[in-house]
Amino acid sequence: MKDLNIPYIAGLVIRAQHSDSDAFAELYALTYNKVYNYTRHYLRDAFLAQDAMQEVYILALKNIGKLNDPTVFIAWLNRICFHVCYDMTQKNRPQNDCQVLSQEILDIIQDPHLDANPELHYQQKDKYSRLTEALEQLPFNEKQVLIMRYYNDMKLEEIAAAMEISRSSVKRYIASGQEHLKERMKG
Amino acid sequence: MFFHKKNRYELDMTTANNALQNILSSCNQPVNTIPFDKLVLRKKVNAASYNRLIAATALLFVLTFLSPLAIVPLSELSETLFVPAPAELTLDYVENNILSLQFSGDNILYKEAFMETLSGEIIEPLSVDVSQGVISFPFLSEEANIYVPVKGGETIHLLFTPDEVTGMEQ
Repeated sequence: MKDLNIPYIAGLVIRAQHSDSDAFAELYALTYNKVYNYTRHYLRDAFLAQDAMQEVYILALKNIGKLNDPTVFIAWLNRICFHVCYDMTQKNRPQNDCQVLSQEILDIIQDPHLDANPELHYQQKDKYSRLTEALEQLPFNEKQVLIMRYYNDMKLEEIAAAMEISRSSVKRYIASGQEHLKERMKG
Repeated sequence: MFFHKKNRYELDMTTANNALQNILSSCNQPVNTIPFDKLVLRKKVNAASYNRLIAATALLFVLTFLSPLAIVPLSELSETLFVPAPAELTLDYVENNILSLQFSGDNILYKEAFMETLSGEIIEPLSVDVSQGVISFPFLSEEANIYVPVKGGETIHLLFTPDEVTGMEQ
């Protein structure tokens, strides 16, 4: 994806903003495999991944007119892709289910001596909401990687494959994301 | 490396095309006039990095195959540079009953030069001037052989007669 010709894509985006279906179709042809790869890794289901992919492009087509800088189309599409996948996993989860799946991220916010006391339970819920807020404030890549790793319980290899980056880059994003989370949770 | 698991998912073109038509119809957009398979083939990829890599590889190949041509002349040049000049007699003269022989060339062992008479008597040089390349022997009234060794096993052999210095053998 990083080898895509950005000026050419920007030209297609401008044409698509003027309701040129061929330009949008070409944008789709250039990016659909990347988007599908991401959704397929994230959702772990071929049919869900196809639905998510369609949802991504419907959102993209509806909102492409709002994109001020056509050169950032790929990054913008990646964000849509992440949010669609995130929303789909949230919808498929039971209401009372704890959103965070990994113990590793819970250790950042959790008191090890916490017991079943209802007061402490509410405190914990408060911490979860603070954690969610803190996650929202993280840089996009860190937030994306942390959510994939700890909310979606994906392996490093799966995240790397979905984002088309190296495993070490994923680890770096996780480490820096955790550091930023800790700082924000303390603050 | 050789058994790297392929973990990239790809959507077949028919399904992708169907999805595109669904997307366009969902947004009330007209269908694309250019067929989807042609659009996929039209993929504009920034191949600058690949082109650079191919150019660098080609250059490396050319340099590899041309390297012998560069090395052979250099070795020939080094041979000519480091080959010592051959030792030879350049001048001989007699002055005050002293026979002086001047040599040119490298690796001449001036201090080991000697004269041998026909009776087998060894006569050491009277003087040796290494800087000028001159060896002086007493001027004899009989024939004698003059030996001037050269480093590397060779020896300059001169046959001296009272009238003149003749020939040189190595």
